[in-house]
Amino acid sequence: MTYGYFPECEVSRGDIFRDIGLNTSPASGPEKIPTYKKATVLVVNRNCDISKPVSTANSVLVVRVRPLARETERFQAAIRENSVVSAFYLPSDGAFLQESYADWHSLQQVSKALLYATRLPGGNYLCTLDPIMRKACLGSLSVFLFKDDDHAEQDEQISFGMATQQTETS
Amino acid sequence: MGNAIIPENTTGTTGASIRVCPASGTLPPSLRSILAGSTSAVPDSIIVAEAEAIIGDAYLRSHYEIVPKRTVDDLARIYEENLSHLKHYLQTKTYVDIDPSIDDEDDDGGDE
Repeated sequence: MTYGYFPECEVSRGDIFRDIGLNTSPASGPEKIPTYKKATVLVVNRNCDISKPVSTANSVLVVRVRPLARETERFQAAIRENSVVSAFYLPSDGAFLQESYADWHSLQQVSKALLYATRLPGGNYLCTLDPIMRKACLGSLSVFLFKDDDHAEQDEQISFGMATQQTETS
Repeated sequence: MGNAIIPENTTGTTGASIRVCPASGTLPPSLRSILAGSTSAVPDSIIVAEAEAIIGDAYLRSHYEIVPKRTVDDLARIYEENLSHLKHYLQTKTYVDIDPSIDDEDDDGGDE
């Protein structure tokens, strides 16, 4: 089991909601203004933070969940292997969620009150990651946040060998 | 002669690209002399697909950091290891909650 459905529970880490207002681009168009859209989100906050009163902490950290089908085939393949550092693969289970991925670039806060208000039967709550998936998800997030840049530079040198060669000879 | 694939160096840091020259295209004289009379057992479609795959990989790597395949168990283990380090670190620390009496309205982006 990858996902569970617990409509009776409170908002918690690993919950997935649909149609939550999100900043989908920090700078769009010639005026470079932020864009907001309704999107599917995954809650990544610690539960003890979420359960604090709104007067203490009124927001919850989420990331955007994007459908995989809209991406190129090669990107889809890399996502499915969890090879993209900035993404975590969310398989479809045929019931709650289409094949998707969590986009770590989109980490941001949303209203805690809004999530609580929509976590009702018939509301925006979709499902919750099972414990193993939740751990894997947080492992992926930690890689995204803390991975050393050295490896990336090494990859670039291997990938773009011709460019490196050109630089050396020029 | 079918489609030819010409490795093409580019300037700058974005790296190399592959230019797929159609059968009707004009080859540079140096390549024309190399390819003249040569035959290939590989169908053009496979060559083009391979070229597109290389382009696709280069595009991905230019936009995203790609690492070796990782399973859900691999990632869960990374989390457990990080948690273990964190617990060890936290054993030596004392924490207090943020004082809820502190008014943070000024941080909410309100117009003053």
